[in-house]
Amino acid sequence: MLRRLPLLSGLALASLLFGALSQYVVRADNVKKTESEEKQAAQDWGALRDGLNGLFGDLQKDAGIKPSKISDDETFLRRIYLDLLGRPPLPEEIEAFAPGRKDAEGRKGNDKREALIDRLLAHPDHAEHFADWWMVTMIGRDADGNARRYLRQYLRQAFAENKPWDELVRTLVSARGKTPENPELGYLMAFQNLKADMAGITSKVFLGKQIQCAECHDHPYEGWTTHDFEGMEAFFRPFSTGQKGEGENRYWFNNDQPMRNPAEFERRIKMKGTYKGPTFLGGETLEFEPNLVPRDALARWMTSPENEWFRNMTVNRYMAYFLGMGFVTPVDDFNSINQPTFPVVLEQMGKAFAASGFDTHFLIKAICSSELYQREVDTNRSNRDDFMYYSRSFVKRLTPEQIQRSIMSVIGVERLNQTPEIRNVPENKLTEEEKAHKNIRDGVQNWKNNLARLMRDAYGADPQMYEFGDFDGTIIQALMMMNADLLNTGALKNAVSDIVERYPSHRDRVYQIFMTVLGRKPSKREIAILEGTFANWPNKNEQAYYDLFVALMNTTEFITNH
Amino acid sequence: MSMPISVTRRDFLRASAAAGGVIATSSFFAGAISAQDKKTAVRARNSKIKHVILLFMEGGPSQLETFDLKPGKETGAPYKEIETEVPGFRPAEHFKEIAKRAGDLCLIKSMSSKEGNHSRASYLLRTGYIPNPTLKHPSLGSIIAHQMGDPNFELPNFVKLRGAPFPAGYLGVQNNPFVISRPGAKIENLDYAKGVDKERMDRRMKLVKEMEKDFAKERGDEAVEAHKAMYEKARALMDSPLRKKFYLEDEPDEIRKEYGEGGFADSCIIARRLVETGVPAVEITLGGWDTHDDGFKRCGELIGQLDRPWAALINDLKRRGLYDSTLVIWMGEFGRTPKLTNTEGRGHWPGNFCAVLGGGGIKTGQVIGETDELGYNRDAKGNSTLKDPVSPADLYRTLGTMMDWEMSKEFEAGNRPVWLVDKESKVVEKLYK
Repeated sequence: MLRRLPLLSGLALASLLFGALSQYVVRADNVKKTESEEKQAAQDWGALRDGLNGLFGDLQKDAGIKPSKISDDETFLRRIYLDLLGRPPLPEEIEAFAPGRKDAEGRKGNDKREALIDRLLAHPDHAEHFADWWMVTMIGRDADGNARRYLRQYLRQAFAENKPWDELVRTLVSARGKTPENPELGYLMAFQNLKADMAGITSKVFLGKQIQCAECHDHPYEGWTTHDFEGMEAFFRPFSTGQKGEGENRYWFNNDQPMRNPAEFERRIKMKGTYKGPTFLGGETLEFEPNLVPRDALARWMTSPENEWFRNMTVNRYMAYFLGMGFVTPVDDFNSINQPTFPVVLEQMGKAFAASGFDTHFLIKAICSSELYQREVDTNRSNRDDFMYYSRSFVKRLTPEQIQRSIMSVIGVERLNQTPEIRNVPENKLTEEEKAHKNIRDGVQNWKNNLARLMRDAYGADPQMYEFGDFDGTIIQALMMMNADLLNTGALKNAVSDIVERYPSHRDRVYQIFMTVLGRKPSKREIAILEGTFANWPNKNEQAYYDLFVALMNTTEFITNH
Repeated sequence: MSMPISVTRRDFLRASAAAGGVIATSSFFAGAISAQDKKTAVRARNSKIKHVILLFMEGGPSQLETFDLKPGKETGAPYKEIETEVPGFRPAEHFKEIAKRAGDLCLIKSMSSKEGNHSRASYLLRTGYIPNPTLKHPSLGSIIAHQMGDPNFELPNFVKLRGAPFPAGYLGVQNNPFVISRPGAKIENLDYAKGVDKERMDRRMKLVKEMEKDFAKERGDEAVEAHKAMYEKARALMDSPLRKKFYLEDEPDEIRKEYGEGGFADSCIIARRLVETGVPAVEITLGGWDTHDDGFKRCGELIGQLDRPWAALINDLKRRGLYDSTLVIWMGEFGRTPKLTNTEGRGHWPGNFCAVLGGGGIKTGQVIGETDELGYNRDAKGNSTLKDPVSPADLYRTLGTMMDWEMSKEFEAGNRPVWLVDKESKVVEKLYK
């Protein structure tokens, strides 16, 4: 059960925060910076990291909390791989990180960890994983297949080049043109022309403002009225998307044009009724302007450095994603009865984020290199009940996307079946060798598709599940992990054979299986138990290692980040 | 963001908000509360209805080609009506078997909503609420599983035959449907994998148990416990003799003949087998009702798939003495426009549509609601003239009343209060009084 924590008074808290983060104060009216200043700020993530360490260190002390230890290299490595790449590290990646030692460049401690964060942010798997995460956050798992495909494509590219967050969101909200040239259309395509959802989801995901209940009745405690809702919806009212072409040449388009004159503006956007017209939530009403597509005005207002909702929502989401708990919970429901735990810290971080030029790497580096992120999950008597001061880490359940990526990575279907480039020529022009390679490549693709289908069937399509905390799982998921042929035969056998062939000794094999599946060494106790188990195993050959491999994939440890 | 149910958490939020806006909470921790909540769940027991079978007609079945015909009128189909023992219950000529069961059914002609979009309307009819992207409502089967199911039952408390999964939302994953996409066929992953027998699986699971120990001690007792419980349920299902209830092999030929052939017929038999075994909620989907074109032919064919199995299900349940405790509901997401297209089809029409209920001790042999001569139900001023309209929420309130659901209990989804049934609704007493 939830236990009450000692609460600081708002005032004491505020003064503490200003002290610790004083080097970090950025004024809202001062956020427009030159390019070089922006770069400077973006490189200043170390200051934010130090601010967080200092501040929460003080807060913990003040609350009589002794924080958990900083995790060892192995634990940190798996944690950061799962968070940034969506999969655990491979044995060779663990080796390269040199847990507990200096790495090849002679770095150790936090230097080594920070260098790793940089490397992972540049890793191609990072863009893939973040594209998954954000696509699900924005439009869910059950949106139209084409919308998902295009949005994901856009996001993957955007994360690969670390596009500033404001620019990314602006591009999505003001998307125009046609696919495939403008994959950003995928975001709005997903709503299938339902303007209410465009307004509701856009406000929720990017601003943390849940206005959709005001679609039908006034918001119970926020004072949003149906007019406020319609005001936001109005920006999307002229939006229309269509499809043309057949088969391969089929494409989606949107060519919203500026309103030509006030009369058209009136007719197409204001429509009938008593509300005022397109209105920024809690703000001004948009008037007709020549050459203006109203949606663009909304995108600019949303993503402006002055818009605290936008800054704070993003910071909160990244805090919650990495630390298992943001300043506001649920992560995207900012409202007057759901105040942040540390409003001033959130405010300061939001401003710093804006000042960095909305560089999400700035946030990620500061958070992940801080002590807050690196604490052990294991607690002591004083911080067992800490759900506020970040004195310990939380066990996070992996999302279906992370589980899928992890399964793919540990079984190593791609890794163990690499093929050289195959010439792009008709099938009958391929050499026998190329045909064989192509068969392998198709087989790998086929396996991946089957895994995706298994995951979809087992995890359903619900976008709102599996964010955090849900450890129950379902029968269908357990059945899949235990019994799916895909996770029992063929590819998995190859993965185990590979280990058995490469490592002749029992000890090395067990070690390698643990490193592959769980990203850690087996403990002394586990080694001892396995000695005993394997001695009594009826078939003391490859099959036993195979069973160990499967067993580890069925542990809680495998499907959680800790 | 499915925040499990917890009254404590909300109280806590209130208290914290009062205490200077400082809130300590963790959604991870809330998982533990949900597990707790499960154990103490108060289940409705004062209900005559023990099982519900929902026959959901996806696509929006036309009222004008099924149970509310307008023969000879410009909006009518070229179908004949069948006169039955119940005045006003005159189904289309293709309902040869169901027509004989009129006395065991209650027809509502006046279902009415405002949602004419498939996904929104399906959500509304399945949950009793209009969709809200910030909140997931449980569907009927999940509500029943939560309110009437035994958490320790070997079989899942809500089985969905065909159709897409529909998560239980704030009622938690334990009330999710167990979806069987091809009823009667081998259920995926329910059998041991190739080369694995019970003994080998036991060895593996013993290993899992051993390999969880350090982790549980250091990092997550709660997580491991929940994980273990789910695996135990899955293992129990794999080895349960009751799993044969999902299949038709031991069903006598004469019964199979009575239900007829096809996926829907097979699903109806499986539904009966499950209900007989104690499963409280089953949903069967029959798709294809979105008849924008060629509606006369297509509706005739669909009724052909529907009529015999549905009637056989009623007969079979009656024979086994289960009809009084099993409510069978037939409905879709909306009706269709009285005006015909030039391709003999009809558009979406949520203004009035039909639902047919039977069993569970409700008052059968009656018709609720009435539509006008052409089926537009509008007066000169455009106001609705539909008699005794029943909204989807009204239907849910009525079901909840009959089944003694905890309708006044405040559940928690995210940080907002939510009720099993929309408060903006009224009971249709005629249905059971």
